Amino acid sequence: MPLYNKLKDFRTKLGVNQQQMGALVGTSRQTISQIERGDYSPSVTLALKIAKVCGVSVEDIFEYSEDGTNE
Amino acid sequence: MNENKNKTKKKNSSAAAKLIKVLVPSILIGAVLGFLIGYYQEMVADVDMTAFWDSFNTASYYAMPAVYAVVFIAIIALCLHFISKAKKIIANWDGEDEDTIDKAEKSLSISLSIGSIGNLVTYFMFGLWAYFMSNAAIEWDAKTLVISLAFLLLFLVSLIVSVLIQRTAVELTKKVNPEKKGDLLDFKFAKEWENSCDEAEKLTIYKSGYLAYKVTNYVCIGLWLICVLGEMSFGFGITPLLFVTAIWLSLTLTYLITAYKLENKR
Repeated sequence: MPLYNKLKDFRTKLGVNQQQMGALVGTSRQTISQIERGDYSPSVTLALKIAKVCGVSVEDIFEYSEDGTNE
Repeated sequence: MNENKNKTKKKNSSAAAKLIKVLVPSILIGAVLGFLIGYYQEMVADVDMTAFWDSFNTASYYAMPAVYAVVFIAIIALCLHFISKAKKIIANWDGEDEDTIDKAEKSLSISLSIGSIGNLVTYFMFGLWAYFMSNAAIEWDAKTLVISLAFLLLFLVSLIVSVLIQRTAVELTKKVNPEKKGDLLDFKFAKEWENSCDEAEKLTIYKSGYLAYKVTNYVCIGLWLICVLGEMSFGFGITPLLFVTAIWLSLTLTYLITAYKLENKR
């Protein structure tokens, strides 16, 4: 999957668990877990909501790399 | 441009080769099956199996309530085992450990899956019992009436128990996922539950639904073939073919109409 993310790091900085994070962005705990594991790529809307809650830009959390390497 | 043409040619010939690999064995298997069916018909044409089938149907009619009870108890026991496992994990969950709550959700999911498949099995067994009752050589006396009523009661009780256990699993799921909405006993449960799912969960539902649609299409083709061959060889009658066609048609129409509505919404 070419989309990498640092959601777990930002969530830890916020001091919330996955369920609380899910409640903040309007999604389920499992979806937060899937995003963190790289098993699910969120929609643009969800990615923006996550970034807003974390107080950073989308690019700070999510990184797209076509060649499969995480720079 | 020539390179693209060559690539397409290679792809097409590879697809054709795959098709031949499937067609040839299918034709051979069909030929062997056809021969075996014809041979079987020749062999049993003059054999009177009435007495055997009468005994079999009668014995099965009397045995069915016990068999049903055993199967039902096994299904319920399995469901309760996984629900109980999930309950213990949830009760001891600190609200932080994600691996722990994943295990609980997995147990609940397994319980619901066993419940769903178990329901199908019990419906099938009830249908079987109705078949044996119609075809058994039994005297309709007080004993037979009691057995029939007892089995009907067992079936109703099993339906109620099954729904209550599934409801327990759903309520536990809602406890872990408070954003989920819907009561299993409500007719609108499926719609409310779907609406309360987030984008990732909806994607899972839709992907699973599409795969189920594709697989059921293939199953319908197979069943249609069995109905046609069955009528030609064993006199199945038109009823099985009508039922298969009804299922196939409702599946196809639902898919087409839904796709059309979604396309034209844009």
